[in-house]
Amino acid sequence: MHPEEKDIYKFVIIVAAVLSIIIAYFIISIIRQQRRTLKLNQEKIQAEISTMENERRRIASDLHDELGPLLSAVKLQISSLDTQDEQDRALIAKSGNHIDEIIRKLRDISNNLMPNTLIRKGLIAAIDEFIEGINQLQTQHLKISFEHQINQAIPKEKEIHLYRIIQEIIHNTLKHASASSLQIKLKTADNKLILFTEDNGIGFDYATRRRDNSGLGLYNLGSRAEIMGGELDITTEPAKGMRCLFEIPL
Amino acid sequence: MDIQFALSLGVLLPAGLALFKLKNIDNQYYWFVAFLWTGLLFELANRFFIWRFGNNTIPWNVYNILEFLILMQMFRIWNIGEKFRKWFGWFMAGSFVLWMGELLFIGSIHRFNSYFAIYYCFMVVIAAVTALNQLIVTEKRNMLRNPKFIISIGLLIFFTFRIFVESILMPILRISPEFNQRIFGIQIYINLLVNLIYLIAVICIPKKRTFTNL
Repeated sequence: MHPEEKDIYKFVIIVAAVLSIIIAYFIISIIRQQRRTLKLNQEKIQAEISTMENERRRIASDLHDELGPLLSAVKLQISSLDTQDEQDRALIAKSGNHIDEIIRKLRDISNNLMPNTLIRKGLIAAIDEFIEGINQLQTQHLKISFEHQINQAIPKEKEIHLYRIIQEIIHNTLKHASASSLQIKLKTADNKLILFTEDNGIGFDYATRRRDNSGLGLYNLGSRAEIMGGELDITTEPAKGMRCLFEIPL
Repeated sequence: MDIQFALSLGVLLPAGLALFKLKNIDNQYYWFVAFLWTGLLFELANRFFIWRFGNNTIPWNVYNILEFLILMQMFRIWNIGEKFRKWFGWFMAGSFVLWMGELLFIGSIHRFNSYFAIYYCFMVVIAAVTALNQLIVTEKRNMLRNPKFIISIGLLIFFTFRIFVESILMPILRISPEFNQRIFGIQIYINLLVNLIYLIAVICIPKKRTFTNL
């Protein structure tokens, strides 16, 4: 090697060392930035969902505990009216029926906002009840099957998220999937809760949907999985249905 | 077997493990496995050409375009950008014309064609940085266990240094063979480090999801 080349070689080594430091700094800053973004994002989602659930609980309780009894009292008062006029009697009976209908609707709304069964009897009973309700109401012929094998207690705060996830998946399947079958399987294994759903509907291009940010439902599913510290895998293709796999630590 | 050749075969570790795991890995990583195996075959072809013909310019020039195609295809599958996906065909065609142009008009198959090498290393670095930027936003888990992150870091390190090395080794800079050898020595150690990073990436590649009944 020429003497000049020796000097150049030294210079090259110095430049390589500087380059290594720059790359190392870049990698470390990327990792730190991702951790910071992740933490902030999780806190934001947690706050948003907690606010939403608290608001739902408050509205459900107001409807159920305040408006419900008030309407029952109104119905009682109307029923106690004594009149001989046939037209008035018919009007009172009709108003009574309307009030019954309003009370029933209020109960449904309240139940949708925060299901009583979930609070009193737990997740499995609430999902069973929800599916039963859907089966009675739906005009499409979607067959929903629900299997479960729960050997460990599920924390209450996770139950509400899981209930919302299943609610969202059923609604999405009814609204968009054109499916005739939806399977929901829930089990606990190795300190994890596994929720698997599969429909035989029209599916979609997952990458396009994510890229276009057009799937608010999908975003909600991901957010709920995220705040439970879990993972969500969605497998779907046009004409090939959709599979969701949630793995939630218990 | 000389030490340089032994170190350059470091790619055998990630390539072997990737082949072992091939049936169980997500198809997003198939192109990465192809990249590792092409690298290994290139090292062997290099050795053969040097032994048989005294230089390795032919496998080197062919490998450059092949490696570029494989890596870009991998980034396309990873969906690193809408525009990249949209213009992929044109981009690859343009790059192929560049490779061919340098081969026919500036250099030859019997020379190390540095311009294309620098260009494609630069493109790989840009693609790796784009993939990393996307991962910062989309990845919800620990990045240090994400194979895409680890692969992108490996590519970023290797190709940044390679741009540096290729720039120094350009034929227009008339340097002695000894100096050339010393500069190339830097790249061998970088190569070893990056092969270890690829090994970690292969270990971190998750198994295909299996959906079991209750």
